[in-house]
Amino acid sequence: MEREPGMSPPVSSPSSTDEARTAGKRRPWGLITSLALLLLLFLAYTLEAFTLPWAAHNGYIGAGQFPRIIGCAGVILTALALVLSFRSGAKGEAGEAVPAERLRLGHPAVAITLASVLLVALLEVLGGLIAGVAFLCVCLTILNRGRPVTNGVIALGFMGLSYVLMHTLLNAPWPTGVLGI
Amino acid sequence: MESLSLLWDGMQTAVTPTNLVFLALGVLLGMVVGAVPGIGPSAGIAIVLPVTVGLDPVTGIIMLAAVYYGAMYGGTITSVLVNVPGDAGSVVSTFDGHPLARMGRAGPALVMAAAGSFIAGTVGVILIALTARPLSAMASRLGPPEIFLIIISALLAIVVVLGRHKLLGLICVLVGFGIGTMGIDLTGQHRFTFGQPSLEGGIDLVVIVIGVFGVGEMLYSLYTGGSADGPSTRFSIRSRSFWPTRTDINESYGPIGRGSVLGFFTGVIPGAGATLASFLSYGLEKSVSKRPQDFGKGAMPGLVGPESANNAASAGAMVPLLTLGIPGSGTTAVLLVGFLMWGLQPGPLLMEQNPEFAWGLIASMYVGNVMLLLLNVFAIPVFANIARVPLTIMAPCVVLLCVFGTYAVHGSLMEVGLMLLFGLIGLAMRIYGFSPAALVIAIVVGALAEQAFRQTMIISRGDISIFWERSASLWVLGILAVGLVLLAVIVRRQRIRLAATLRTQSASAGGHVAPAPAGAGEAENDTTAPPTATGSYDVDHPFTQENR
Repeated sequence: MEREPGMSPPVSSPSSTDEARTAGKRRPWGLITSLALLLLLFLAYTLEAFTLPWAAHNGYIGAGQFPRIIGCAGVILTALALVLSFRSGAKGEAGEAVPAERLRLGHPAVAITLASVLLVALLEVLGGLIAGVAFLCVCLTILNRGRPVTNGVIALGFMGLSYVLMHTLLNAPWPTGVLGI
Repeated sequence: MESLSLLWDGMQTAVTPTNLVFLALGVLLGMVVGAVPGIGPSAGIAIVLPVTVGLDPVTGIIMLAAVYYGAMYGGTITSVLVNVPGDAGSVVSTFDGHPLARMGRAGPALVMAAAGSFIAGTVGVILIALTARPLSAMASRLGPPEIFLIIISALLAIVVVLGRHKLLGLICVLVGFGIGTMGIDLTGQHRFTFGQPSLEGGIDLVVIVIGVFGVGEMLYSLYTGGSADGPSTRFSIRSRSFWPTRTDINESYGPIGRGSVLGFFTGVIPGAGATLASFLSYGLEKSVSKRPQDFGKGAMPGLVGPESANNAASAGAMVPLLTLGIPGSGTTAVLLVGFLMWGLQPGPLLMEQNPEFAWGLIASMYVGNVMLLLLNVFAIPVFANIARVPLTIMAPCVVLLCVFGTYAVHGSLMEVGLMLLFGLIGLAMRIYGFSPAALVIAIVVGALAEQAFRQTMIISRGDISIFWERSASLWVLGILAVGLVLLAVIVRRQRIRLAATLRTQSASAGGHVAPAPAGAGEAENDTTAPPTATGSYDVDHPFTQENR
């Protein structure tokens, strides 16, 4: 296939690239969704910016000047990017920026994300030490399967070191939880 | 000459057994503190400050200063090895430092970063000795108009790191500017705080940086099924792969020299700081490089230049502190507390009334840099072997470190939640071709630029001619104009050279090489996609097709 100037070679293997190109219309839905969300955010930002004063009481630059400029520019550019994304799909070009490995519940990235959310929720209840050990045990069980002893040692060792370093030696803020550790 | 003899006297003050012990302790502690995400130099100094109460003032300030530049290097270690910047000043080190580690070159990367930091620190100390007095006089004449103009030059760094997808890069810049407007502004107006007291100071940059670059990178590596096993090379001082090659060293002379000077003079400017210095240096190195397309993929100049600038800026930040009593950065503000604790008032009289204190401090910075270099040579193999830990074990540990590091900043669970949110945003940015680097630079530069511009308008009562009526502003404008012209010439020459190189390669490969992308030689800091089998970062992305 002839390449237009500026067109980058695909990252995927030749067979999957041909598959993508012969598949017909295929829009980059992930990118489109991201841009749509961004557009909504910029719209909300701009609306809020217009509630701020353009000029201060003494006539100088007000709190709203820069945000309004930023918001309007953001809305315009994001809308443009959204339109271009739709058009790229209409031309039948390949989709996502990276050949997406479909995310499923057991996917490592998803597992760590969900575990992290749980960690934050329980951090100030269980305390950093216990919550951290539990987090590592769960994540390592999923990511490093079949090595429970190794995983346990890593979890306890890493959290122990972190606790001593940050809480004891550096006296940095540390979530102690209801047990006070 | 008088300054050099004073420096020699200061050296004799610094090099005593007691001072050397506390210097070593400070450097070691600083490295450990700097390596922990969220605990940067300022927090490190604040933590150690109470320990120094009972010490002799000279010994105490030597130890605190050692923590300062030890922490600067500590942040580099995690930036290179696990792509988690220890603090905002280490963000740029992730652009090329971590790709080097992924290529199995963590040892050379850390050694060159240490060497660059040492040389820059040495240059900084010499420049302090020679230029402290005239520089302080000049710095005192720099006001918001000049600071605004200098910050504008940092916007050039944004252009350089926009990446291949310029439109998406610009959107990231606007998002960064928007985030920078959050909080209470100059007039006391609440902007985008949504009634939350915790947002009155805006979102802490460290939280964003740890999220986007730390957690975001780990999630992205897992998403793309990144290498489950680390590099197989074991690092040892005796191993050849531990040491930089001749090419690494030859490529680094220029970046270290430029970074040292640029970083020092940037650090002198109050409010500029090591973060700005490192961004400026990266932009400069990429612009003058013969191979700008290598930046973002493990280019040694992309690491050593900013590292040198970072360290030199920490030396430069001492100038306004010692000579004017004005802390040039958050870290030097904490150092100022140390001065006051010992009953010393930094300012024009400090160097005259307490020369052994001031020059002892300056001399200790050189000794501390030597110590840092020696410690690192032996410690780097230990650190570099961390890069061999498989991703399946490294990822959850790094995420956990980011969580506790963020919590250590203000003890705020909300900030931890924000950090994770930015981690997911960082993941999405990498998947869809946005530029995390442009986002972070824009947050820093946008907030500073707005503040400086508004202060300028207040001073001038809304009259924009202040920019060319003040002599200091005219000087800065002149330097900027010369810099812009030089940059345009250099970039144009790079484009021509790159296009010629690609034509030659295409001819010799029988026409099977991809054509030069539009804007070739201009900018590409695409940290958004993994390397392909051909070693290219290019992906089939809707926005890579420039001719629409």
